Amino acid sequence: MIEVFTFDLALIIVTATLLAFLARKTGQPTIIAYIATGLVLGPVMFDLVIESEMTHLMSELGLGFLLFLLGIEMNLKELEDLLKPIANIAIWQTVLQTGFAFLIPLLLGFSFLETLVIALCTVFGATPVIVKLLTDKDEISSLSGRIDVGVLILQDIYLIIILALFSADSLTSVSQIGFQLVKIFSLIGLIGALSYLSAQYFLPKLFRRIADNKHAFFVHGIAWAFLFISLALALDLSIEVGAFLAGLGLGQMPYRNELKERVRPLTDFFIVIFFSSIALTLETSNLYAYWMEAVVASVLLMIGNFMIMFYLINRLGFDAETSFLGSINMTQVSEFSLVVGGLAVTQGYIGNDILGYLSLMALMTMTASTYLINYNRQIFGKVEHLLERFDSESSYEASKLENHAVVIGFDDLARNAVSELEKFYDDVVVVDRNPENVEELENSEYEYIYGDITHGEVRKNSGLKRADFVVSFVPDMNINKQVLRSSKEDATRILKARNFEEASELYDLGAHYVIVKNTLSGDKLGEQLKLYFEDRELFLEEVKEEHKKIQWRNDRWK
Amino acid sequence: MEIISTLTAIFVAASITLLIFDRFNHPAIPAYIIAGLSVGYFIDSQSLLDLAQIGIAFLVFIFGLKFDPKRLKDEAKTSLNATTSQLLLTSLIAFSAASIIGYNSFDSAVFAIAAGLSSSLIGLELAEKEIQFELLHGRIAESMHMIQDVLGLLILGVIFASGLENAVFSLGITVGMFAFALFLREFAFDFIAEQADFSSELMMLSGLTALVGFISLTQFFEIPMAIGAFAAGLTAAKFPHNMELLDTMGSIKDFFSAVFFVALGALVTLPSLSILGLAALLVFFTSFVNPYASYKALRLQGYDARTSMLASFPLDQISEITLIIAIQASILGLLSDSMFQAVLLAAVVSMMISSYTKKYEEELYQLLKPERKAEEPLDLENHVIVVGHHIQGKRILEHLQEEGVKVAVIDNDPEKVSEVREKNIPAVYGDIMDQETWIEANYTEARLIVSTVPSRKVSEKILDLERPDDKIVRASDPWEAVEHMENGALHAVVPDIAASELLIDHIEGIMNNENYREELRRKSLLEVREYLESQ
Repeated sequence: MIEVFTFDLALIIVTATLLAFLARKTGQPTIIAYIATGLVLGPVMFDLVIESEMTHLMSELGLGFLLFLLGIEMNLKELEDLLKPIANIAIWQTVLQTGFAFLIPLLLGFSFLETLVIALCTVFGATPVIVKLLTDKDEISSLSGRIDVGVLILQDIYLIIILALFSADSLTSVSQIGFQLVKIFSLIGLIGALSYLSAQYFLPKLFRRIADNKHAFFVHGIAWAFLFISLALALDLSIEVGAFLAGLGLGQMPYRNELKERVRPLTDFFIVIFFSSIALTLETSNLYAYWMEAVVASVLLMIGNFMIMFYLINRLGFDAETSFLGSINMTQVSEFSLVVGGLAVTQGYIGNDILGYLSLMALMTMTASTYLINYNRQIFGKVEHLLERFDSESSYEASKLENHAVVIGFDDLARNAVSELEKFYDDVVVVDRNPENVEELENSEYEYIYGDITHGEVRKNSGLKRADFVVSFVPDMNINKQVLRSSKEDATRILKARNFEEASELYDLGAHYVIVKNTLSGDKLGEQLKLYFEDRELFLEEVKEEHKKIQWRNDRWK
Repeated sequence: MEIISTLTAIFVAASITLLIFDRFNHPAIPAYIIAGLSVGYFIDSQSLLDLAQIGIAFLVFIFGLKFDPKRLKDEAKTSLNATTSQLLLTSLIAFSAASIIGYNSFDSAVFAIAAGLSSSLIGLELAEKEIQFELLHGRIAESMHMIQDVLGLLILGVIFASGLENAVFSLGITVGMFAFALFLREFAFDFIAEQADFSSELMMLSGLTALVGFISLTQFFEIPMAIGAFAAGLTAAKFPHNMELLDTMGSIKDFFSAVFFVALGALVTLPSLSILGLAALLVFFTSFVNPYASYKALRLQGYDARTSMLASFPLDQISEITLIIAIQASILGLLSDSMFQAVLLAAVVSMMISSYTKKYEEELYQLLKPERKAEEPLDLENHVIVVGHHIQGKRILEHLQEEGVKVAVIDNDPEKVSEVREKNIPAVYGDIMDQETWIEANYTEARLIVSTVPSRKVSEKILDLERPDDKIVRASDPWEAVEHMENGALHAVVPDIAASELLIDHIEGIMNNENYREELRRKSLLEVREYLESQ
């Protein structure tokens, strides 16, 4: 038989799974487990696996899709109100941290070129680590969470420029660097504009047509990513740049949550291979070549990063808690330092020993910061009294959905219910995945999320966990069981079932009321028929009333 | 990177063909294959075969994941009988036909498999509505597809065996692997899911580990890896984990299976006349012989003509399992190139035809339905005919009986009909679209017809009947209701409106009165229990 799942790939997957379970038990981010997979299987420990063509392709795709996702995540509209403070923080943070990150290796005795590369590599926070942990803790939509995500996204643009700079062939003189920068900026601008313009004029039409076809929807998203990746490669930019810009265009569309949910598992799959293969190329001697320096630098960098961020956020009038949480999340060195470092090695700017130093730093700071992020609120509670003098009246309000109503599925029945709920709730979130309703709901006063409630992402965005009133108009047991599982028990929960067996099961699971459409109308018609047999004229009177209502409804919705 | 541009070509081509196919409501698989045809000249499909193999693994894994024997429950026995006879009949004729043309026994066997097995990916997608509404023919089609998938995998397990002894061994391993998977599902999977803390990432990793684990086993025993992939899927086929896994692994499957089908299409070369002829013969088998055999088999199991025919239409295309067998056999050099090409071509054509037979199923049925002699009309006068005996129909029947009115029921599900007859209520078994059914119900002497069937065609058919004057039909939306009333309906029921008003009352009640909610829950729960007990 043909061996597709080569022994190597199987070994990577099995080891990564075991280590990921272990990481879960000890509260580590899974990324650590994946990197450790590479360490265990690579030359550092057992030397069982070497990078093959297939694993290389998959890790390339992993990085591409990770940036594609990041692009999708970047919805300009949602960041609008925070854009100014975030830009302010991000720019100063980049400048200050680059300076700081430059100082440390210089003091530790690295050469100038090495110092420069190390400084450029260690500026970024680890976006996947932060985003993942904050999403798991449901803090991503808090004020500090949004500041962090905003800063990370701007950092990512910076990262993309650096990646592009490092993949350029020769960098010998200042004018060449300048020329390279101009070229990169104009090409990025070009592709970015292309992506943005198509998001404005072309993509909405295309996606409206295919959004209800699950295959076509997904394949179009992927095709879009590959198109931009190929375009970027053709222009001598990196896979990552193309993927990010493709995602950026798609991120401005109402379908982005659904697309994100569909692309994420694919990314998760490839990213396992990506992170594992990083350490596959590490040599033991390289990893420990500068271990003392790495420990010192890690400690200094974490403290320095925290202080810089705290100062910057606090300076803009955010309160002590927001400033503290916003900065304690951002203390680690990003896994991208390994990517940039890897590129720098291929270009010959640094040796493998420096890459080992960077890997060690990333490993240590990411591990340590996981705990800091996980226990950020508890730590703040301990040091709160010390930070009192930094407290100020915050001028920014966190907008978090709470005690709101969530309506799942949008049809005639839902339309009436939503306008009724609107009377009692300030926020009514409508989750629906029928592309025909997109226009109506986009222009309505309700919060609207396009997507499937069984997807975790969509559930989180709708704040289902905190909702006070939940109605599902989708007669699907899988969806409804999921809704009951992920909503508050004391929330009012109304669901729809196809028949009594299902209804009974939903009541058992805690539903307050289950709509069984055909019983309702069966009973009503039964009553009416009674009238029919007693007095046909009276029956006609009664249905006439109903017919009027139907006619009125038609006029209203036409 | 070479492979990146290849992948770009694949996905861009696929997105274009999907866009066109979506316009005509065609399924995705032929769209992929045609995309492959069009980019076949630019890409080196051999280099894609590795990625395509991953596509097969995930595709079959998802099959296993979705496999829920509970869905078979009601129709299990009849479907099993019907599927076995349909499969035996079709493949025997097809095998003889291919042998007569002069193909060797392996080629003929693949031909027979192609003729007999149908694609559950496509069939179930086409019949999605019927399955969702739990219509009888939808349920039958679903069961038959599930049984065919299992039989197809068992065939896949043995077809590459060398000699009888090896075949028995392979079959044993295959069955053993499925059994082991079911064992793990019963006793280990909950534990693993618990350890994973329901994190979707860890669940995905567990799924992947099961996949590579089982595939390693198949490599060890030298049987096709699709068997292992299905077993891995079975391991996790437990609610609610299967739903979560479907969420995550589904995307990976969609990615790689797109690559698989496009790569498959890229293998097609310009066909010769003889290949075209062979493909045409195969299409004749899948589009005519196979559905006809299913129809006959279902009739023998006691289903009425319409149900049998509508359940057979979703079975008229070549299965993806056949494609997997064909590509494996072709790579191993067991299958002649002409047969391989013919199977691929026939797959594309039959899958496209399939969406048309589904679309025009009602017209086809009217065209093909057998003549039926009406039985003696019911000896009833001045009665009420209730059409459909589902939830709504049952309710109405109860109300009418309380009134002491003479009632007759029409339904196309034999079980429903005997259920009514057991209560000593006259019932007619047959298709609502047939005039004969109405004659049997003695409609000209009836006082009133009440229809509970949510189908525009049914409502229109009833309004076409010249008598009685009073007809109450169902409409799925207010616009349809107005139309029916203009066409002479006494009343057109729109369930949404009734439900909507009640729901708004409930919302108001809940918001304004703190005890309302618990009271509502108690009452409705009681009502449901009472109803279920009365069954």
